[in-house]
Amino acid sequence: MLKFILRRSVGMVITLFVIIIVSFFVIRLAKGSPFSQEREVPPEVLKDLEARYGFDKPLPQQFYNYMNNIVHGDLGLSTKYPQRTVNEIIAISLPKTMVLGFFALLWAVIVGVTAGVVGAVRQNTKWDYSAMSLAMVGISLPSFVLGPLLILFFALYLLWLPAGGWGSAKHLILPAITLGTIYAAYIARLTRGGMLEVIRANFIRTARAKGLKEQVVIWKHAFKGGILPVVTFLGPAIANIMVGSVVVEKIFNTPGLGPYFVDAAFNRDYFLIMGIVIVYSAFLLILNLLVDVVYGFIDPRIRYE
Amino acid sequence: MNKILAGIMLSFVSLSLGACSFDSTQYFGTTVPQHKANEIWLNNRSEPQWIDPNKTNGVPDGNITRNIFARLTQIHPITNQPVPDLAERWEISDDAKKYTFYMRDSKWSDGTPITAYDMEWSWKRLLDPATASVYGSLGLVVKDSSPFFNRAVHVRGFAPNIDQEALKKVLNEGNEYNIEIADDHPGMYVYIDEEAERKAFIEKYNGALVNGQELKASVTDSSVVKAYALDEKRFYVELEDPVLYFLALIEFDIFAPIPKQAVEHALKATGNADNWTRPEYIVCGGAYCLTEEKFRQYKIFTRNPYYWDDRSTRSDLVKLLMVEKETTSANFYRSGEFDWIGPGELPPEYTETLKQYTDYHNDPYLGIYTYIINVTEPPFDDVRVRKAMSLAVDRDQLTTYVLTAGQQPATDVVPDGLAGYKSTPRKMFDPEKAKKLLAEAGYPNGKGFPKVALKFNTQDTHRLLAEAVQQMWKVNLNIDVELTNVEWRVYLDDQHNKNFQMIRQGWIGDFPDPYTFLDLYMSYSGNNHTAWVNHEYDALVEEANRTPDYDVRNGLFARAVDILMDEAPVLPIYIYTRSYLKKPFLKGFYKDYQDHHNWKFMWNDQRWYKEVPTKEIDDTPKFGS
Repeated sequence: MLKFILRRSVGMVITLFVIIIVSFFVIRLAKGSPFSQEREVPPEVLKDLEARYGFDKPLPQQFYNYMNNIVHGDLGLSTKYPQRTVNEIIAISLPKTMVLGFFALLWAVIVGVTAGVVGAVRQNTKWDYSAMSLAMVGISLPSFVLGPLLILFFALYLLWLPAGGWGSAKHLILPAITLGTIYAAYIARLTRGGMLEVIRANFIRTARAKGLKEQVVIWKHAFKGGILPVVTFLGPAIANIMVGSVVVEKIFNTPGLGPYFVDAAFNRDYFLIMGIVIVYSAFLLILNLLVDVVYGFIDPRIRYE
Repeated sequence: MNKILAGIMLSFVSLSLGACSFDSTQYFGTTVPQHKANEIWLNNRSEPQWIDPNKTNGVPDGNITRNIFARLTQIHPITNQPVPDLAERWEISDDAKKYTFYMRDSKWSDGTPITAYDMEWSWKRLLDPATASVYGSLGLVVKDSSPFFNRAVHVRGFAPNIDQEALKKVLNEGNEYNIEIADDHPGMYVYIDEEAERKAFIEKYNGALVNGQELKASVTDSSVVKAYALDEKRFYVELEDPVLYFLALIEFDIFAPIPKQAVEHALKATGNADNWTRPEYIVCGGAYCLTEEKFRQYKIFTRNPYYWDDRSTRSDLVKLLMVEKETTSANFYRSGEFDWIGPGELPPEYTETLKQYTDYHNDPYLGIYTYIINVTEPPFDDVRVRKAMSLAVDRDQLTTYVLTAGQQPATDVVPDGLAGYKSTPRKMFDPEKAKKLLAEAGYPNGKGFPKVALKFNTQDTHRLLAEAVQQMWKVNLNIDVELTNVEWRVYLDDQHNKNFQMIRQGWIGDFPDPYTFLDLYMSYSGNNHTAWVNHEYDALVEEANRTPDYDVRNGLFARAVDILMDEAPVLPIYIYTRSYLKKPFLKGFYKDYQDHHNWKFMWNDQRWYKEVPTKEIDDTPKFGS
């Protein structure tokens, strides 16, 4: 097990390194400069700005400096927010996104798993049909439709919840539901599919034949196997949710990490883009590893030597 | 997609509005203030880049710096004329080039006085290339600021009676340096762009013996700049030219005095002087000061009791939220979190619906929307083709049917009424003449006209307008114009590198004077992207800037504009308007041309907290009371 984790970690570091190299140079291929604007920037001013960020040096030299800085934990300065370091921006924004992501995930798992199990256990009943229809709606309804609809109803019509912003638990409800619903829908369908497969398996028949209570059969024996596809799905899903959603965070004006994915690229804020790419990749790699480890615990067929 | 959404949202909106008490359908959202009476809540859209006035760059920065750092002058919100602020009064020499400002007894928010020395330090900081101020070049109206701003080499040390022209020749040997002879002391400024070359030059001539003179050479320092304190109370400025817009120009936030003590404090405490604008270190010289901030969430500003005119400041606290998405911003306004939301904070697709509400307003704005032409390449190197393009565009139709938010069709590159400027009436749409000109240029009925493209940055409103214009060119001239849209940064790059045939260009005036728009077509202006060079035009605008008489000056401007319109490197399309929503209880909000809306004038009409008031209330700006 430990060996497996170690081996994977080495692979992860290499992957991350490749991602950094590729993104560092690919961003620079895009036309346009972070300092360009409608009013002409005087040449002497431009020189000083470029020197401040080290953009005046040749690209390989810049890359070397950048790698050197990352190793020392310094992600550089933002060009869009020149008074902030990328470290600072991520440190301010990431926790908010993660809090939002956590509640979205909670919503997704509770609603999704419940609906999925109900659908599987009561297969082809009205329970199953309504749960799966709702899941279908959840999958088809993009967050930029669901979000505004929720705002209209709960914030502007009923005046129960704020239309957006940050600061209290109330501010979290609508964005978390908006963000989590599509995941809930996927989880519901995956859970139902997984459970149905397991319920027909021999060991479940054996368990039932032994005279175990239905509840025990479902939750103790079937659930563990049935949930496997969900676990596979959850790895990348958590990474996705935890680094934020561009759409949801824009609609609700959440001061999280999500909007930077688009804005930093539009602003050619090179170091901020890199910082976000690194955070996102690291998240994705670590969570994939975690999923594989969790597999080993919940699926008796999988063993890492 | 967005439009469908907007439709859904608005139908909900109109449904739900029926729930309020009085005739609320008049207003978009709640009319009861959602915060304390002495507070104002506004949207700043984006997190500012800088709240250091010397470095401001864009609207989100200026919104803040203008209100927390006072300048020598301020613009009266109703007359749009410069009136005293930190300067109590000023004296102007007869040639209109020398200004002496008398400082008022105003204080920084830490209680220390704002002196003429602060002014000197701040203006020199603005002009220092190391400050990297994007707008710093506006300060070049100050005499001898250019060599300092451009890091020219200052050569001096020689006797006053030597032949400076001969010396100039020696210094310039083998090079084409631009050398200026200083007129107030024996010395000259040598402009060398390349840093290495500049260093070599200094190395070579510093201490060298040339024509029998021992020279001193170094990069020009700030001591040559003719803006300095005579004593604590008097600030002296000498100008290159007697520019009439000077008093309006220095209202621009970059000219604010900056608290040296705060900059030094931040440098000492954090090792980075830029941190001085954080709430822990900031010291303000305006009506408000920053007291609390949460990155990309909000900033809170409270009244600065040391500001000289604090008695006139109407509200105690201003809260700025950072809401970038227009629909979200409109939601916040509706639910009562914002007291007003301005241009760029309203979803454009809402305009039609919003028009019916009493709190929707529409005012002219100091900005112009144009298409500019790259005149270097055929077919646009032919003035007849350019004129034909311009004459084939029906601006009235565009503003009536495409834009719809009350924009004015443009007949000039300068919006009317700036510093007394009146534009000459012109016939902008004449398809017959356009056809004739195109035929004369060798393209009868558009035959043989090469493929040309109109570029704009990706945005729905630009696309709609471009499509309408494309259609007009097709119908009136029978030519096909391709539309290309590019993302913002690419657009800026293409504009800068003249990588276009025709491109959209919007321009918001930096100060209320025609020159801010006419500078765009000066042959040597960095902002002239048309490659159009006309020395007569240059000369007229330059002469106008040297003329200390408004009428003569405006006459010269009008002649310059005539040339410009006749040569047509630019197609003015429309004058911008600002659409905004303003709660009926927000008072002290005036229709100033530059969309500044100083916080110190704003206040809440408390009667709205109880019921809908029936009587109007006195709402004239108070200051100096």
